[in-house]
Amino acid sequence: MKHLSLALIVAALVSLLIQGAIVIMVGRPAAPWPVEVLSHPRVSFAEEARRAIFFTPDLAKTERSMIAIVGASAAQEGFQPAIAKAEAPDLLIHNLSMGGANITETDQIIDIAIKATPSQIVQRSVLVLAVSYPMFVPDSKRWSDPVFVPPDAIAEGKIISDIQREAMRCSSICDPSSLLFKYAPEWLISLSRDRYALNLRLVPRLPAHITDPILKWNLWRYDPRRKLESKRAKKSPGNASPAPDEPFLVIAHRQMDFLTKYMGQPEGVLQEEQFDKLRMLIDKAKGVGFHVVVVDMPLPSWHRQNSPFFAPYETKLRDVLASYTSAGTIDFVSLVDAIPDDEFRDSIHPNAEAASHWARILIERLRVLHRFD
Amino acid sequence: MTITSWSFIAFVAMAALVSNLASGNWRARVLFPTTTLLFIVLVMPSMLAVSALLGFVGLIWLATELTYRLRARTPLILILAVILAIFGWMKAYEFLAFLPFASQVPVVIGLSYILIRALQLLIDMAETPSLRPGLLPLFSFLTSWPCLISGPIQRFQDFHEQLESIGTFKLSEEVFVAAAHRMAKGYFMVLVLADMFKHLWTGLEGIALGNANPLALAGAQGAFLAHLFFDFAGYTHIVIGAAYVFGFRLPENFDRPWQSKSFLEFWGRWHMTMSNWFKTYVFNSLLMQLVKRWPSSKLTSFHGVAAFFLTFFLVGLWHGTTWAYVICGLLLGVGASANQLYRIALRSWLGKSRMHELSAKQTYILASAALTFTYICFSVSPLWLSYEQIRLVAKSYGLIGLILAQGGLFLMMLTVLPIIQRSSFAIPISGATWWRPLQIGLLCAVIDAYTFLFPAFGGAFFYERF
Repeated sequence: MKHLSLALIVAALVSLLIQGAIVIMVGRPAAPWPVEVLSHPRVSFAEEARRAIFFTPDLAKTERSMIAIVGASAAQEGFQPAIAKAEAPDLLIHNLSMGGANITETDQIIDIAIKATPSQIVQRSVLVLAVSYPMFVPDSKRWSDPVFVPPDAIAEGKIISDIQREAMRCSSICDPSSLLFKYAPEWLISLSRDRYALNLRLVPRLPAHITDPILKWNLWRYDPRRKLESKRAKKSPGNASPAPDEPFLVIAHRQMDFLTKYMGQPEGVLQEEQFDKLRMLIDKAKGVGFHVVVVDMPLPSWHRQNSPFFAPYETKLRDVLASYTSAGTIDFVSLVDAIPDDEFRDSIHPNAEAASHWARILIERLRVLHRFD
Repeated sequence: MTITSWSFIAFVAMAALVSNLASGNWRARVLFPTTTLLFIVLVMPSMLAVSALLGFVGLIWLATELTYRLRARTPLILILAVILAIFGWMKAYEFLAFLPFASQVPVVIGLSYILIRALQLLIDMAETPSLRPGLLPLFSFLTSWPCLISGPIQRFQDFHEQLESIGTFKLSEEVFVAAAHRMAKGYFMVLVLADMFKHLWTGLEGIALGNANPLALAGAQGAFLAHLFFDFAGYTHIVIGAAYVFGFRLPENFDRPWQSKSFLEFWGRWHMTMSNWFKTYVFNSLLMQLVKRWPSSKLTSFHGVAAFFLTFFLVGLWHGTTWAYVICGLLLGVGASANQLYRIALRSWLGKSRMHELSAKQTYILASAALTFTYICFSVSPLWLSYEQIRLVAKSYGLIGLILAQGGLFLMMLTVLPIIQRSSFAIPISGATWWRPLQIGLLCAVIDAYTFLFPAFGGAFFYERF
């Protein structure tokens, strides 16, 4: 046992040295992000996933019933907890939404929240599922889109969400889809995460991969053949004037077109996959005791009229929710046309001035549906 | 379950515990085959693949029975032909795509390695019928869990001897530390070094294929070979270490390949168990047949050239199922036979003593090593480039672009190889008793920090696809 003890001591000492080096480089760890503001400010999908994985466990400290909002970027920006708190100081609101989340990833965030929150709190809390049609993009498209997914993930041909990717940092115990996560007690998962509290501060300062700086070398782009070719005529410096600012609606329409492409399906066709997952997600959340409220997120009128996916989405969503709403087991709030077009900064997100209006509308609707402690 | 997952470590720990607590007789006859079956179920992609693998093992058992009973050359050749045809069908070789249900056969991990072990046993049984195994020992041998995914390749005789002796094996702290040391070293190679080079290789591949940059292509070729080495050598360390705690001593697969000075020497140091197998069962047999057919003494040297070409062509073909691997086989065959021809030409031109004199010169050694590694990087490119990509590279780079890329790679090798060769002597392989535990602790801490800071998929081993 002498040698094994030595190995363990060395491992611990070297780990401490590494941690020490990190402290010297980036300073001592600050207090973790409060759960209420996990989504803000928006930085990158990876950073948001890291916050969701490493700081959501603070939900364990929650002592009163809460409103947990999950969704994508529109819910992140529309229902900012600080603004919501100003509108309703008596309520505890956590916004766990994540930019670019589809239903699969939303489900993973809910798993993390359920694991962390004491069950007696869950049973007195409201889960707001803030959905919109871009959240129903199939996994095969969302998690292999070169615009959002790192090239190594695409090269591997794996469907892996930002949450799962960032969860790899703590030996898969933080991955909501792993067996270890499902069966390990929360304190063990929490301990695994806490081990990396210091390292986590270093992550945003590092490249995504250790060899990325090497890949940026100009050497790789240098082509010796150019030396062999005759000198090309030098181009005269461009004197074109910068493009004029595009009118707001042109940009917004472009973004809507981008969303249409982003869905990756024949126009107007939405696959069942994410709707099935929504059904399972609602059952799970209800099963653990959450009072579930599905919110159909606002869209500007021109977006609703022009998007090929909006009408089929509305039909399918209402079909999925019909059995629940008719039985009165969940509530459905449609905010889809509740916001005037001039409160959108693009085709889907609120502008800064409108955020408090969005939050107020949601709280008003929730107060009608649910009596909070 | 993958070899780099926690579930694999848990599997090894539990299996080792049960095996070492069980009485001697049970270990070889019950526990080892049971552990192997459990491992198969855990690593195979589907139950259909498990059934296909077990069916193939059943077929081999039938072949051993037939070989034992018939004991003649012609039936053995027929049996081998049938096995190879079924193997080709199960591997879904592109050129056998016309066979019925070829596209529906499930992917069976480790099938190529099972074939090689089966052929060794059948060929040796023709000479030594007493080797005839029972169904259970045959199953344990062909699918032995530490060697299932990517070797190392063991002869039946060696495996059987070790299997018989595990009953008396006692796990000591020394063996445990040695196992942990090998495994920690392997995990460091796979999770840190192989991952670093994989990222570099795939990144440079993107640049090279996108913009036809010769230096990016050279970098991708070099980074791929480094990735392949750390991935495969790391895997080998892990399984050799895991086998220690069960009393198995698996053969080594690598002997510092970066010290190679020629193409043929490289294959004597890289994937040694496969090279030895091909040398014994393909090269020697081919050479013997050629000498018998054309016994002229003037041709003796050239028999070797032809045998090398065919052997290495088969090595390339064995690695994969697509046309790209046919190209890889041809390039390997050309490399091996050119190396042999060069030896013959140099000897006849300079004479034996001057050739030895030249071979001892440092500049000559360095230039040969750099040329060797440049050609190896070039010849294994079809392992990571598809047939369409090879065509694209040929078209977009043209002859000058390809020559510049290989020239750039040669210069890289000239710069890097002396550093690697010298630094590898600076790291002690063994030493004081505290050295191993110290290394284990150090490696574990570094792996932990690295995998947190730069998480990677840790997907399948590259050789797993073979």
